[in-house]
Amino acid sequence: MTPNVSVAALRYFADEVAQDPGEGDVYLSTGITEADVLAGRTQDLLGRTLDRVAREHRPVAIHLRTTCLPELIGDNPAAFIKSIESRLGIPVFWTSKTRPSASACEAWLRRSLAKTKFASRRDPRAVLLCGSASQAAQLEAKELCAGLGLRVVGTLLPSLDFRQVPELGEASAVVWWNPIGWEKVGDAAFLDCGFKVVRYHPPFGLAGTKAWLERTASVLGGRGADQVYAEELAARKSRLADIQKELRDRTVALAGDMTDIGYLTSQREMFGFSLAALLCELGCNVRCLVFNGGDGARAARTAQGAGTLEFVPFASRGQLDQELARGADLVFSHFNHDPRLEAHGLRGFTEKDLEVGMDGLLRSGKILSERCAMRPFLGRRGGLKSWL
Amino acid sequence: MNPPAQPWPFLNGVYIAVDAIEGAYLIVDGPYCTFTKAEIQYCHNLRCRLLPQLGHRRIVHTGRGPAREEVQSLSTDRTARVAGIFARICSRPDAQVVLATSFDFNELQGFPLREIARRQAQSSRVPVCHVPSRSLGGDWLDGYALACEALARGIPLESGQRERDSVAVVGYLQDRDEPDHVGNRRELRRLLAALGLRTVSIWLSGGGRRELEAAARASLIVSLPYARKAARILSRRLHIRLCETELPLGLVATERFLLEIARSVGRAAQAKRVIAREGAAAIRDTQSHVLRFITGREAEVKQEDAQLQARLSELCGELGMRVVEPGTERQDRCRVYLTHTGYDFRADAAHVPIGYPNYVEHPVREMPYLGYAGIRCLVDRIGTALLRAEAGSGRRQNAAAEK
Repeated sequence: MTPNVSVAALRYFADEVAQDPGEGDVYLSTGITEADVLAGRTQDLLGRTLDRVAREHRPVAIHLRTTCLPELIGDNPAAFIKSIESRLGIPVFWTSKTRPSASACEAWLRRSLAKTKFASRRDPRAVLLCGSASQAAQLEAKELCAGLGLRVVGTLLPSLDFRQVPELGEASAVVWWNPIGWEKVGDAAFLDCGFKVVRYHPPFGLAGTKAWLERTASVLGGRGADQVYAEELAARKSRLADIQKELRDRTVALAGDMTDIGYLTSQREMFGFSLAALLCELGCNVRCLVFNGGDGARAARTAQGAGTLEFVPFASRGQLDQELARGADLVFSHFNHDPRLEAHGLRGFTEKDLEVGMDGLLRSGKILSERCAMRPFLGRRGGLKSWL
Repeated sequence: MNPPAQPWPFLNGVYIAVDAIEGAYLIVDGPYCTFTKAEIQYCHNLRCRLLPQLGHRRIVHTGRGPAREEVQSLSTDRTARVAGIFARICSRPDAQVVLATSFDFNELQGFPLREIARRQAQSSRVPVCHVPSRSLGGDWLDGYALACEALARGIPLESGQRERDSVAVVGYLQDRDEPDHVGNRRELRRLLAALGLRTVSIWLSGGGRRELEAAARASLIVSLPYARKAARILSRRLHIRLCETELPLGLVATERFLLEIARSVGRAAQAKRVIAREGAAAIRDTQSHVLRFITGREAEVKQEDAQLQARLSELCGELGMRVVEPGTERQDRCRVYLTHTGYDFRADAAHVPIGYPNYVEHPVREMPYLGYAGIRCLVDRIGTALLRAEAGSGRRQNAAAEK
């Protein structure tokens, strides 16, 4: 059961991804009860439900999700899946609550690739794009690929619908746009089918996009990445300057212990990009508030990118509160409603508010700029409830 | 999307109860996803205390962590580790009461959670109440009722503190700490005060252990439908008279509520005077709304809570509305929907969100739905919803005609 399917503002975590089924999707649950468990009929119930879904709805595919309870009591849907696939030709994608879903995903890729008819001579410039969820992201990825002389035949992951990629058999490479979150899904299925694979840091920000272009070009060849980057940047230069101007006087706080700040300021595995560097590209003043860092964690404000970066240690709740009151406009927080921020009428943001690519950077900048500007109770925030 | 046909789960009801007791903790013998289920309550109650962003979480699980190994870890002997969790939670200075229950598949395993809770209760300053799990067979209302029942058995109470003309209301469904319930509780106290009765305790109402223990001062227990057994247990334990009533929602039900309680304390004549005065005032205040744009309309009531379903249907009848079965063909352009918003919200219809859960209304001002104050509020909300829907429907028709 999803905690809440409809009202994003009420969610506990700001980075929670909505799990609404897509339009036309049919959701069914077996609704196991105690009586079913005691009578030993849970597996039959699952079989009947699967069969009913397959016969009544004739879906193009079934995503079967099993939870802890049926697995604990030893239910195994393998026979039902086999039957539905062989009798009705409806593929079943089975993910389990107690086992990693990456293997299920890899198996799906393998079976779908096995059904793909590959051309005898595959186009070396045709690529499959993976890891781009939104249409806007796909559009920019295709544009950058086109700049490098590559033709995107379609996108997969998160979509697993191979029907959307009818030209897949012509492609000779897989290019990951944003591979964060897909680390456990290996590329072996693609490699075994003769694809080259480009899986690099996601192209967040200008530096990230440049690095992505360079990496893709180095693996797949084509036009010079530097030239493509320069052209794409030139096309967005004035819009970027506008955003940087809007954010020039804005202070964005990143708070945490030494380890947290280390992740937020480096290109390590957490996000695959430096959040601080990206904010500096947007022109922000980034203030890293380091818990228990001592004076060694203090670093005066220095220019970085189009913005600035500074490090300020704090050792108590009171000191953190003072720092939040000292001119912060926006704070990184995964809570949708963080009492520490609300005490100052501050709004939060997460990595989910940031988008890949140059257009993504501009959209992200606009969102952050609006969050800085749109704070309630100007001049009267002393009336807000303290969290201390 | 097909909305799930199942009612909200048992555990949700236990969470609601825990959220309605200050200083309560709940130990759930289950995996990490006990937290995600608590997030439903967080969306329903803006003042939810189950998962504070700062400080200790009130919901505690016994799983080893957010790993996918629960099935394997259940096969080990977990007794000492779980007992350790009980000891840790009971030692927290802000803990006033600790409840414990099980997740569905943990329940099947037959783990001795009740025994661990019993042992901990013997050595702890904090009452520890085991809530028998009905995760596989019960719904959220069972969860709430059983949590209240466990409290009624487990909270230390001293009999002999009885105060004259004092009442404990047991079985009030405090599903969130928002002004709708503040208004309800104020109205309940006001109605009882009109009969000369002072409310010393409401189970549950957001208060802590002191509020629960104050039931011992009552000379009458008024039992509302959401924890009947808890009220009976308290009545037996404290040797206090019991008056079982329905929810005072709507004109007729409020009259029944007042009369039943008044009869049990020998004040029927006083109740009749209160009903005459208050009922007439409520009718006068709402008659323009009712007669001008509510009477004659269709109303669809769909609640998992049978009591709320019955009372709302009754109220709609009192207002001259025709109560129709959910899903039947609309005869009225603007049917009124009195439903919870867990699965669906009809933005383009006269939807009055009510019941659990309610994601789309979080009032700032008191918005009761019980008693005479509740009638005024409900008429206000139904009327507003109808007029807005009708205005929107008119605009849509005009727009269609222009095309």
